[in-house]
Amino acid sequence: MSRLLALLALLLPMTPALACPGLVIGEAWIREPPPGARGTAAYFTLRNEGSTPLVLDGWSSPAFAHVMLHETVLTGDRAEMRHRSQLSLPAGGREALTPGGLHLMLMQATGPIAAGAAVTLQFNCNGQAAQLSAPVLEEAPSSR
Amino acid sequence: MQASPKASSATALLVLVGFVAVSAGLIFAATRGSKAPDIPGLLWPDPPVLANFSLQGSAGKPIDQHTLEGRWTLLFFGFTNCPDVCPTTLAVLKQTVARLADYPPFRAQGQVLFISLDPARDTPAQLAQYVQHFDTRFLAATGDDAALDAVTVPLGVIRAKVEDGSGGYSIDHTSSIFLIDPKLRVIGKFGLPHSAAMLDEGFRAITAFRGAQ
Ligand SMILES: [Cu+2]
Repeated sequence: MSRLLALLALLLPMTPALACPGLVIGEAWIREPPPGARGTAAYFTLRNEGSTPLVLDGWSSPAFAHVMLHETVLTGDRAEMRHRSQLSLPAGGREALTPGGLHLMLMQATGPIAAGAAVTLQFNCNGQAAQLSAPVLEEAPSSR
Repeated sequence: MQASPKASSATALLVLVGFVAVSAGLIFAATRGSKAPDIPGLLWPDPPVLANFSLQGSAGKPIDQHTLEGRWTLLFFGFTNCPDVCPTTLAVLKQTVARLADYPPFRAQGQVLFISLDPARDTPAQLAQYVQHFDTRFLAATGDDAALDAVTVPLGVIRAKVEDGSGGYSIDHTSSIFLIDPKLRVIGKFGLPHSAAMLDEGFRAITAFRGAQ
């Protein structure tokens, strides 16, 4: 049942983020941390359908002590995570956070994070507080 | 521009050197015997060979070269607090194993081994829970620096501790999946991005090729 709810949440139409006109967020999900892991990552797509550029930064979540925007970068076959201070979306711009690339790094969970739950992610959009909700899934939606 | 006699004789020498080098290369390649077929990920000829090693296994038993002898092993390095690359790849390995379940070489001799590069945080018991979240048959192991070096150095696997900005640390590491053959030869290497389709195909092609060697 909880799995079904998570799936339904995923199928909801793209949701506009609160207090961030023009920003459309889609395909948001968080990987359920495997046992023993206190961190995980959030993935979603962003689209700026407005006419003004958007700058997103200041990520946080009540469910994690630290949240950072990261990018996994390959140097040869060595994977490194680099911190990104902000995301800029010009009018009409898109960005995708996907496994192995850009991701929101969620560190030090404040409690158990189980598949079926939803996690709130907060951020600033051009300095205004905004948020989105992402379902916790066992696996990437595409692998279902 | 007019070439001086000196310059043209230097050019002639360069051409000669180049010709000799190319010919030597061709002769060398021709005398190698088994030429490498065009299989993505195949390390051939001269695959590196794993030396003896000894790690603590997730099932309470040591994991060493004997664990790999006579088996086809898909080997991946990481750590449990790795939030992006490691779980993504382990999920792909889970799908790969499902796709290979009916393929005799994998069914009879296949295994997946995850080696943690973070022995300070990953105990064998924790590692067991972690990999079994993906597939109950997955093996996991870790060891101290010297024990890890015995595996990572021959494979050219890099590991580097880096501050994560929240008071903790992360480990940058080689993210390729290695395929070890039953004679401990490192016969395949698959880089990111990983997909079950690519690994499935690579495994079948490489085991078929090696079976013919
Ligand atoms: Cu990260």
